Amino acid sequence: MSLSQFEFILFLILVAFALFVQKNNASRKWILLTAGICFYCYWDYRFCLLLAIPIFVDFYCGRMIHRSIEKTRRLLYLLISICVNVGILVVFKYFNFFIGSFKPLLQTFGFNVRSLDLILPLGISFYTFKTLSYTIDVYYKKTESCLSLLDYAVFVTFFPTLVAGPISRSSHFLPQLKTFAPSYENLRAGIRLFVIGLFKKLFIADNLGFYVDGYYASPLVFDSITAWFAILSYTLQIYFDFSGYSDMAIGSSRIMGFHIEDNFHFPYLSTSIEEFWRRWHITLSNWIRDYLYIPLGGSRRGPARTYLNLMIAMLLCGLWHGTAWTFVFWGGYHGVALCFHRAFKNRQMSDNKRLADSSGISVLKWFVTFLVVSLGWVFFRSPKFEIAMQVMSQLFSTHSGVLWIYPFAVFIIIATALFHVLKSWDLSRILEVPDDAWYTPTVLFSLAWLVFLFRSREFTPFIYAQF
Amino acid sequence: MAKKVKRWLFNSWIIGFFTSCLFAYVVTNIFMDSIDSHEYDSQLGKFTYSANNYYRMRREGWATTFIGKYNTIGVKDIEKNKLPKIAIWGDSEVTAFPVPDASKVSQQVSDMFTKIGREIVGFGIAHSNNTLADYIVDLRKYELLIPNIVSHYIVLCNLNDDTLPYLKKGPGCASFEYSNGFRLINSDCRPPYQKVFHQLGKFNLRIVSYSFGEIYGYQMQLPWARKKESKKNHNTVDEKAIYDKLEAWDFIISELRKQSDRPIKIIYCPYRPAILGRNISFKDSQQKDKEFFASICLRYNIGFIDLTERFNYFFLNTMKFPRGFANSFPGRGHLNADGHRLVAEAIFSNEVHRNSLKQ
Repeated sequence: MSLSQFEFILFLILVAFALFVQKNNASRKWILLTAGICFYCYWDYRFCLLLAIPIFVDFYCGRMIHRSIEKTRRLLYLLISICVNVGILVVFKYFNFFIGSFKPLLQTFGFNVRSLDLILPLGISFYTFKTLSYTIDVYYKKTESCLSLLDYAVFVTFFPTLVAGPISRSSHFLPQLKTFAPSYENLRAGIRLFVIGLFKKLFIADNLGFYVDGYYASPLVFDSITAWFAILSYTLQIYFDFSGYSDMAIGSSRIMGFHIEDNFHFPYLSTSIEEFWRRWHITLSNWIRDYLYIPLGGSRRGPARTYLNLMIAMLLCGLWHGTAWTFVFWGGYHGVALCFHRAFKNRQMSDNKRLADSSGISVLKWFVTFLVVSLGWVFFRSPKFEIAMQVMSQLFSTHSGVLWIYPFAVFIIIATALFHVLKSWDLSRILEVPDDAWYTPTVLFSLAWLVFLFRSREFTPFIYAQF
Repeated sequence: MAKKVKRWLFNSWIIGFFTSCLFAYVVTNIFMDSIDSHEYDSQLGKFTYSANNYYRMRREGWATTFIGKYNTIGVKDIEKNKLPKIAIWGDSEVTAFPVPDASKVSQQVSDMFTKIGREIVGFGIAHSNNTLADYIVDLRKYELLIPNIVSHYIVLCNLNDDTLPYLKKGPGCASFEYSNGFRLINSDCRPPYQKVFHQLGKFNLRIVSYSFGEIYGYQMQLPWARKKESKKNHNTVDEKAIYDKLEAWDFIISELRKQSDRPIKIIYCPYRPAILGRNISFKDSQQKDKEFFASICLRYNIGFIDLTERFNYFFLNTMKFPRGFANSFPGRGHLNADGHRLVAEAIFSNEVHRNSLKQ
């Protein structure tokens, strides 16, 4: 069941209604847990057991870490948790990828390893990071261990964020379980976010997807202008798809009385690649920073080690996204961009020089960042490395072919650009839809109409749901 | 006080809903296709598009089409026009809702004759989903209703779906059937829910017809509806396998010839060139069928004009497809303005050639 499907809306209404009716906190938690399990079972009931493993293991490990005084014992339980979580992730997500990639090498050494017939469990990358963060936080005493297995199970199986995040932290979510309650204000704010998310996904992203998919199916047929339009369209498609999903997940949570961390903050307004990662998929960026980059030493061990840490963090970030070398390359590409940015910043600081913050310089910085990010998406979107290279060569040559300028894409590119310009001038308030404004229901119903009337005919899953 | 606020908020949601409906009404009348409105035509003895009406197409292309009496496309009061005429028959390729009237094949044919100082009018007779069976049933009636038709051109794109028994999907009118021999069966072409759609069309209530269609579509996806549909399809497959293709063509072409002694020509517009996989395909998948079909046409003195070469040549020269629009996938779907021009050129050159032979 995808968040953009009619079935999910019915499901959400049912769960929200049950939470509204039920006043007892413990019963509400049971409702949430049941809803989470049903939601997961709707996809494939066999994988519920797989979901149960980290719940039990991490809950137990968390309790034991909290109870143990000896450092080695605490470390042992942390390692058990990490091994179980990462082990499941590696087996189900990466085993076939590595076997497939290194098969010829393994065969030369006489190993004949066969790939496994496995389905990628829904949301595995997301809930693994969620559960990992819990035990690590308990180990470093950043959070209390959870005393109730029910609470912890609700945290892991919380259905709005189960498939593709936001990667909520236990320290943020678990305390809310004591006091969460649906209310009129939450309902209003939740519906608003949900409808906006639905609009971003079904109206904008899916309709752009038609153009992008058409281009990527046969890139060499089209000319360079079409190639530029297509990569620009994908830049917007992935943003609206994923931020739409995040809005819907946050909105659904809000309807039920939960506040989930924001995942996006106008990433395409960034004027540096570092800023981009502070605005794009914020919960993942924070996870990688807190549990990978900083433990590796962050930027405290000199420039060379900083660059190495950045590269490791970003390569793993790329690999987390998908099991293809194009994703690894994409991660590495961003790692290199971050290193360049860091080097540039360091040089400016050591020379005590700063580029004047004139609007011209800001626009130039924004343009370079946007271009770097957009070109990076070519590797992210291409099914094969050779196709990515074909697209790249097409972009920077006068390749002749069929010209296809999709009017909807042009409209969305212009509209998004205008909205971002207004935002950067702090004038976006005129286009905002506050929770309590008298016109908000009209706007939301109108957006819902647009979704109903112009959504794509074919069901398109969320891009990030495949990770 | 709190109650008052709550009531106001509740009201704002209700008012909001109705205001948004108004917004949706406006949006559907600008950015969505018109409703297919039909009326009974006593002279043709069947339902046709509501006469003297404008049809808006947005889903594919962006155009408005005038529909005259008797499903005539793009020309007003054709039945009153005494000039010599070329009738261009077809399905949605000739109704050509995605193409503006000025670029439609019929108008382009008229323009080409005007340019050389000849007063010959081209006009389309079409309805989406029409097949060769419909043209056979209607041809004689049209010759009586519309004066001075000098020749007929039939636009065909799919030699299987448009010419063989049972294969056409969707609601057709006349049908070509096989049961102990081939036969053509006429009908009044009443579309489903005709009265409802006709009334909705009057008030441009596209929003209602669309919602109705969506609910119907959603209901069709439910497990029991799917089961019923697959059972129905299974039966149709059984029916398809029992006749010989060449015999079917022989029958239908001979029937076509019987309807009129005026020149009849079939214009074949392939779905090529098209993007297939990672490349552009120029090879027509109906090549073999086309050869057989053309030889049968020749036997009955019906011309067969194949536009495959012209379409391919046009693409190689311009890198443009004769099919597809900016808002649809290039090379797929209906003929675009360029495609119509190529068809018009074929008709024009054929007519000029025929007249020069006659003189």
